[in-house]
Amino acid sequence: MMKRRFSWGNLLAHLALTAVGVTMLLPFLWMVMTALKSPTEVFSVPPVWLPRQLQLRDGDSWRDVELLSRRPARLEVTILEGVCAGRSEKITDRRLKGSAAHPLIWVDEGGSARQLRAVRIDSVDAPARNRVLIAGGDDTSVEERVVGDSELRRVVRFRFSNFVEAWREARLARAYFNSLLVALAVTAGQVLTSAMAAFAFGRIVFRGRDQLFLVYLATLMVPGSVTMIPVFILVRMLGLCDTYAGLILPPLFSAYGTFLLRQFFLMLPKEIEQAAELDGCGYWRIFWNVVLPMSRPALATLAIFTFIGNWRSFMWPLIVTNRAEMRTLPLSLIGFQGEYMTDWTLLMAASLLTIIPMVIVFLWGQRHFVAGIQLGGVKG
Amino acid sequence: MMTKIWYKRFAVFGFLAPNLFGFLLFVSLPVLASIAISFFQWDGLTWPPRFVGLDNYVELFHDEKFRRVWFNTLILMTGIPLNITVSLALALLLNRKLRGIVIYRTIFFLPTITAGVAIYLLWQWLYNPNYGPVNAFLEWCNIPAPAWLQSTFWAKPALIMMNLWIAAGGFNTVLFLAGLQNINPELYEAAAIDGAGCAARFWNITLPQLRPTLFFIVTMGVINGFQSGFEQAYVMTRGGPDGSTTTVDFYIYDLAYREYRMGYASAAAWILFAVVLVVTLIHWRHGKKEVE
Repeated sequence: MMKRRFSWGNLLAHLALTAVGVTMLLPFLWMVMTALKSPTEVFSVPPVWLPRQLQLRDGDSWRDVELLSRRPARLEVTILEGVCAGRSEKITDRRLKGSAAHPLIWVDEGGSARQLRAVRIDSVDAPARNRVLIAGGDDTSVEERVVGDSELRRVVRFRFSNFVEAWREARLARAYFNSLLVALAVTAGQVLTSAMAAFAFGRIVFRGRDQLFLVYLATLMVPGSVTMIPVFILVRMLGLCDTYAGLILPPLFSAYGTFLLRQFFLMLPKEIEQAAELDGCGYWRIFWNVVLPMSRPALATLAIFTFIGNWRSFMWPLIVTNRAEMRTLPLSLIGFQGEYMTDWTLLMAASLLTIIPMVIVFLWGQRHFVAGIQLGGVKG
Repeated sequence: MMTKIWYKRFAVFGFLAPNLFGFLLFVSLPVLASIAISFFQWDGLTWPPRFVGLDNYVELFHDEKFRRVWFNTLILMTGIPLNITVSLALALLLNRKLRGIVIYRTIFFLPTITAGVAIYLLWQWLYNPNYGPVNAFLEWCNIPAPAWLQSTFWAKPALIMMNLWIAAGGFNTVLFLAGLQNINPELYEAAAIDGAGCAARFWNITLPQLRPTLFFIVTMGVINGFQSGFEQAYVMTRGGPDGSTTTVDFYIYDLAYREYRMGYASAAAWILFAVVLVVTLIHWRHGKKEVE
């Protein structure tokens, strides 16, 4: 291989790609950081990235406390720069930006935009009052106290316990089991049955084959919302609402898998059958011992697409389940959203737990994934 | 001889049966059933359904809400060209044989792969007007911050931007990359001899050579675009505020599973199908031409 030489174009490309990469990752970082915050920390204004814990001075040491409410300090400041320089204003410390050494406030100077201007703090009319909750030595006793800012501090701390709590509160164990069962069952069933059908369509000549395959193809362009209504009515008539069969069977059969695998089987050499027939192999042996092992990349592609598609599937489980025990992960996230006045720390923790398996499957099967997109085009 | 024929018939049946049975029950017969249902007034439960002929379709043409959800869907679809442009730009950057391409591609793909309820919830939180980082950033830049998902005007741009983040680095980038790698390098060499600049090479070689890929991506984008928008709206806005994020797909869901108007919903779904079908036929007809 040629040695790479430095080029300004490549450097610019790297910079652009890195910028996009950071944009892609920042929301995930926010998700992780939120999942590790304390419930009061998520509502800090302006928002902070690093999770922090509020602590109260207790002699020489510091104790963890929860903030219940805060009455801001009232101050008198003098604006030092800009059109309004020299003007004094009475404000609350909520308006104060910048650092303690260089306080700033937003000043309306009559133009289109407000300006951030340096100020001098002249006097503090009323100090801030924080109502905090102190947990006693045992879990039962709690104490409320009103303290000033100087007695409090914030230290960076990650609350990993949020994950445990989210897991318990949202009964994620059951939802995880449901999602895993449904996604695995649909994947296994889809790969096996469509491989069999694709073998018949791709490797055996029989009357009516092409016409039948055309029917398969035609259904590919029918929107899901068209078929879902009769399928729902059927599933309800069969009494399969709120059952695993109802969750698994309808998504198991899509023409897409058959279509994708048939394309692949057609590319395999013709000699397979001839050689196998000489050995006295039946169709099943050809299928199972020759065609399937040769088609591993295609099977892996279909399996990965089907698994991820069903792991995050939302509409069908939403329609076909009612009972909390039958919920899959996306549904229990939604339930979480309503049930608890949206506790963002726990919701983000639960969301992270939901997407992690997809990331793992993707990283593990990435090669197949990329090849699969380029092979057959993807039905989104 | 006879036994061999029968053996083959048996084999064909055996291989097809499991898939075909499910396919008939859950895919092809429902398509037919859905046409039939669209001619009835039915809640899907009480028997018998009431035959109303074409009334559902006639009513849909006068349904103000139906018109609005089409409008919403089309507005949200204006994100498609934006997505495609960004995908193409990313593919061009990735095609420069740089070090660490796999890492970039993996990172760009993460939003696509994780998309779903969890990601929609994350963006709802990002767009939070009071505590979200988006508005904190805007405020820091001294830009007036909108209420995003709570605003009838800003909800759609918010969803379009989110979908740009989700989709830009995903499938389309990979498809474009494959298309770029298929371009014969001799074309560029010839252009270099002629002294063609960067822009000239892009307009006269890259873009024409990418036509089949571009065509595939545009039509698939439009086909999917017409059918999308349910999940994000359900999770983030419940179709609001004031119905501004209710798409055709969401409206059909509402009619069928909340109001139990199965006939009316089926008719709406068939109108959606008709529109998608037109695009699909263009996709197939021209797609063949492009390949040849």
